[in-house]
Amino acid sequence: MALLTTMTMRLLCGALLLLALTPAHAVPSEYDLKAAFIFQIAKFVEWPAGSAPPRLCVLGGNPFGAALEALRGKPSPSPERKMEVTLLDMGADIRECSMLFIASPAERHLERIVAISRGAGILTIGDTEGFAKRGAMVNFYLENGKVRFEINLDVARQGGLKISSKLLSLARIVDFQQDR
Amino acid sequence: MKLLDNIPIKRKLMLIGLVTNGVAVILLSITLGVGEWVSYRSRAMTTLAVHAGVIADNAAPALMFSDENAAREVLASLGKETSIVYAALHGKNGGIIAQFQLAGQRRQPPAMPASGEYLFFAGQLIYAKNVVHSGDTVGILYLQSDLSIVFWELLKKLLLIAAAMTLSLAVALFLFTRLQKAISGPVNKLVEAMTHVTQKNDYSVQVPVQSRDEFGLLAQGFNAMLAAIRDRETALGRYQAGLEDAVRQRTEELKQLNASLELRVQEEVAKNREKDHLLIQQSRFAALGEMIGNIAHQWRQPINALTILLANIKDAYEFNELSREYLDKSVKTGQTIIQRMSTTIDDFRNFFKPNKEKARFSVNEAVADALNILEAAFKSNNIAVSVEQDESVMAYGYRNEYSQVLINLLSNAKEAIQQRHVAQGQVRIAIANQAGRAVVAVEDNAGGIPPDVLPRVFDPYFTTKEKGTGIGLYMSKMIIEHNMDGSIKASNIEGGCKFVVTVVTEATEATQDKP
Repeated sequence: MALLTTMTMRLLCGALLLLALTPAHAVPSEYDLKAAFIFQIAKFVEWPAGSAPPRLCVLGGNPFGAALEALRGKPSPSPERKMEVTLLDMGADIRECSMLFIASPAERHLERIVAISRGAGILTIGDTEGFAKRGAMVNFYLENGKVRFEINLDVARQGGLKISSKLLSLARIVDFQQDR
Repeated sequence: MKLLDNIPIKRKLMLIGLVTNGVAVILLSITLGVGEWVSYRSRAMTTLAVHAGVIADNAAPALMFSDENAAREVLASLGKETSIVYAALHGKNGGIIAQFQLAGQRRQPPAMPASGEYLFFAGQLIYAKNVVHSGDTVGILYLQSDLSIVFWELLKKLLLIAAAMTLSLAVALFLFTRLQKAISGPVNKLVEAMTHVTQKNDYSVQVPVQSRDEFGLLAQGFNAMLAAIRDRETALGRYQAGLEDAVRQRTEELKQLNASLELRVQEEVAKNREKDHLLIQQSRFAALGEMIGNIAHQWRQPINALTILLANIKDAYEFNELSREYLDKSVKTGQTIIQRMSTTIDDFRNFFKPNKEKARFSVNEAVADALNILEAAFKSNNIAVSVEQDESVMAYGYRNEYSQVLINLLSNAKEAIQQRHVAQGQVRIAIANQAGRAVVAVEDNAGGIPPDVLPRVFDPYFTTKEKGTGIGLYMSKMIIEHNMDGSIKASNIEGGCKFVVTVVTEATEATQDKP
């Protein structure tokens, strides 16, 4: 106990608080992380001027569970802008979204979605292998049990989005490969 | 400062220079050292903060995305910084995301500082900085740098400074030893000159005046002082020689003067003796005159009687009446008269013969004797004499001299009454025994002594009488005061003057056998 100085106490308290804020799970799950990553990624992306408040749309079901709801209303990328979260049905209009997470059940619509979003300034995100190569701008994958992401820089550029080099430095850059 | 008192000025100056410069150097070194240390420290802090800023900035995305590799890479960029021994990135929840350590050089502090704070620990500096992105704290960065490098650098610098200062001190001292001659040189010259002067009493030395500063002035002053002393010395020598001469001369003069003085004294003594002799002679003459006068008075009546007797004898013969019987009777009468006259002379001779020895005598009788001698003179001048007396008042001394004094006083009274033509002359004599002393007072009614004369009446050769000698009262005073240890006083009373003669009644040691 003697070694338990103020600093460690403070760190411990911070950790406990974080755990308390994550209701169900003691350790953040894969999708908790992915939800958090999506929220963070928004901070490194610059949308074309005149964009509406960042709206995260999720297509193809909600793999995030409660973590998605936790993102709602969080300030991003700047404090004045509150994040909106919308669960989209198949065939819904995606042009109102600034970020679009394409869950794996919606894989078959990917090419169409990429085509639509390319001109609309929508950051497309996926977590299915090969999504990036097929046109999704950001795609999560697992490496040694850790969540990583790849970025298709060309598509993002074509979509009018600027992605910070800092984000890029953490990502695996993939090329657009129309023909697999 | 006592320490400095007893060492030569050359060493003193050296010591002063050494101490002042040394202290200045030490103080400067301390100041520089502290300043350097403070600036090094703050520079180390600033450097660490700058590094932390860059690292935190770069590490923010890695922390946000929990990318340990990326975080490690960011920390690895510190590898070029030799002073940083440890760096760590902790995630939001406190877990270590990445750390970077140079083997064996890090010291583990008991606790890490809070964000933005520094911690000095065992020669190492630890800085913590929150990793913030877009206003969110995403983790914390700890940087730890080893200050020993800084220490060594500082030490090197300080050593360099110390060396430079020691060198400059040495140069300063070298210059000081050269330059201090400007001060100690003239001082030593002065001291040498002074020693020469004091040891050899040679005031002819001169101190060379080499400068126009205080030392020059000092040398000039010293020379001037020596010159003054030299002058003084010669003058003093002259004075001394003159003084000796003068003393010798004066001694000679004094000797002569002394000799002549002795001679003068002898002369004066002889003169005095002569004068006294003369005085006594004169007083004798005066007494003789007095006696003759008195004899004349006494004899006037018997001479008349004799004249008548002789005329009667002649007449008797003319008328044949000169019988044998008548002649016998007349001769017998004449012989009786002559016998009385002879007695008178004897009386006077006895009276004026000075006594050889002191003796007790009756004052009453002495007064009666004096009155007896003057009786005829008083009568012929129609002067009434009254005597008031105690019974048998005795005195001790020379009886005849004492009577002579009384005769003097009575004669003076008589003459004063005569001279001033007092119609009813009166002389009162009072004899009394007062407090063991025989007191005789003689008063007259001749008008008294003028006040300006009164203090001088006993002076010798002082007289107011036409034919006076001025000796009577002087001799009286001498007799009473010197020979009989008594006193004689003159004073004025109403209508005349009063002389009071007081003498002892019995022999005392003082009065015994005094010539």
